[in-house]
Amino acid sequence: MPVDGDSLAASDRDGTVDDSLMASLAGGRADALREIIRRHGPALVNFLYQLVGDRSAAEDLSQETFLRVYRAASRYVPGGGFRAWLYTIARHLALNHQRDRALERDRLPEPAPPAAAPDAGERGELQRAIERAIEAVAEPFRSALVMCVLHGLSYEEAAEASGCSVKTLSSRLARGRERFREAMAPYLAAGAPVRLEVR
Amino acid sequence: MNCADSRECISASIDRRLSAVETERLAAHLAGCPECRHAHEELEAGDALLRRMAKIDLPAGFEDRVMALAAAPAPRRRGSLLAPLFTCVAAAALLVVLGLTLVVPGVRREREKKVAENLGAGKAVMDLAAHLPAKEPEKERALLLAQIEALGLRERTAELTAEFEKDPDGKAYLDLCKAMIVLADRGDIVELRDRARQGQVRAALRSLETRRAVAVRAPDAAKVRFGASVPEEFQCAVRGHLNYMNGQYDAALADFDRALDVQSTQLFRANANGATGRMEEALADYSIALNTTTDAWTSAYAASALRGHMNAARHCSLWVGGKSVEHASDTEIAGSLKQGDIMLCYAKDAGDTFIVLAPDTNPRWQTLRKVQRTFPHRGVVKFEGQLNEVVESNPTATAEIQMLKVMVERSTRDR
Repeated sequence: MPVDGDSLAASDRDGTVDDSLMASLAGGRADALREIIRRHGPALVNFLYQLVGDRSAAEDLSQETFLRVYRAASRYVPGGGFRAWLYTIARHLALNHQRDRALERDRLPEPAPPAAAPDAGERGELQRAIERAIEAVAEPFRSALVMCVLHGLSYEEAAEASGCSVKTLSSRLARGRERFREAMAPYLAAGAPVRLEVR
Repeated sequence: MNCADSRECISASIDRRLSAVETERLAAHLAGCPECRHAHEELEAGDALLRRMAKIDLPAGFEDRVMALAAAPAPRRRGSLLAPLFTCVAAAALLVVLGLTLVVPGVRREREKKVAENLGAGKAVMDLAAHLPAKEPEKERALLLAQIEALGLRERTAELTAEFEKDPDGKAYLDLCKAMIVLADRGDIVELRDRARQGQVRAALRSLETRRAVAVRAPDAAKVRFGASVPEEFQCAVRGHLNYMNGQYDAALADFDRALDVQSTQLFRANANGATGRMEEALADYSIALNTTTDAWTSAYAASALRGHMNAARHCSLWVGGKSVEHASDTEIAGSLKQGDIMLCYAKDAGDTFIVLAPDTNPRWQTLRKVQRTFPHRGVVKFEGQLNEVVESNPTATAEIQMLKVMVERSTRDR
């Protein structure tokens, strides 16, 4: 079962609670935003982290996502599609961020040396390998993989958030899984560290 | 079921998305294919590994920060302060240009430039309308109305009429432009889309472009003023189209991302990505455009681009049963097609390139997708000049089917 998806309003699979919160927000009850953040913030920041691979950027992008939700509340059309809508906004912001970062990298005369993550020493080899493998999965396959496998979005929700058909989403997810598998090959082979790590 | 099909089915089976029949077919394939069985196990194990990725928490005070920012007044757009001034200056400049044209021959070029700019503005509307998917008519209508409003086309109709009256190409274009506005008001997206694709529009534009050798430019996106009723995502879509037309591809991409409207921006997004060297993204975008559209021209364009034939895509026209139906409407194409017909997207200007669309069943593009699977690699299919000649001299379905066979053989051999 998806990990982040479980934490995400598991009792509201049809999105009625979200719809009602959005209606309150559109009606001028700003406190509804607080509740929306409580419900979706933890999953959203992880989603963005999984897409951009940078903790502080993920936090900034989460903030911007919720601000956009707030500003667009009056235009939200209820119908149970809140999560797909939220992920659409977040995904676009993440892609924008990645693009800007790539442009900045292009402008730099020399690539800056990668800063060591503060908790690099504490993370196991497996964690680093998973993060590298996720990075190796290019867009749009990465977001399909992350949305469906880690966040439990249905194919329909993920397709809507990606602006593609369900069939395309299904293909992207299959390719995302294949690429992740290739990148994790050493850990998936018999006798690899992952097998030893089972607690 | 072959191994390639099975991999996609394995992924779907992990998510329990297969029908009973598909599940049976996959099981039958796995029973006889140790490689795919192994892949199945590893893909499931891969999911389990992925779920062990460490999580991060929201930083302390996150909620309060967002609430405080939400309570603060939204920042004003830079353009909104300058827009009224710009409009006055532009209106004054236009009057001066139009006035001077009557008496000073030396400013003729300026007037032509202005005409080209107006054409550019209208072209942005046309381009948008031509790619409306008609899937969510109300949304698409709103998007188009936003475009018309942003470009001030409705208010400027009288002015444009006076300007274009002197130019037969421009007049034909303007008539269509007016019809578009009426259709957009009425909300008839299907009719509107078909009209936007009428050959004379593009022909008129091409003629003007060639004759005057003046670049058709859309208004500066940053200076376009929107009414308060235009939602931000629509503003972004419109601005993206204008930036795209002006060659500001990075700005266009940023706008399209904020537009939250993929259907009508997909092809432009793909082009912009391609123009800025982001081929992976461009290919993904073309792929989405191809897979989501029900529109023949977009399909042809995207499919051609996917094969690495950008020039072909830009000049693509459609041939149905040997007859050119350049920019025909879906209705016309559907009416011309018979079961088993094959449709060619033929790029005359490229000389050596075309692709095959074979809408032999409903949904129409089913066979195209088969062909796509046959040619999964961009640029694999390269045609010699004589193959085009064969099609040109024998423009029949039989000849085209023959061509398909040749393509398949070549593709297999080259790989």
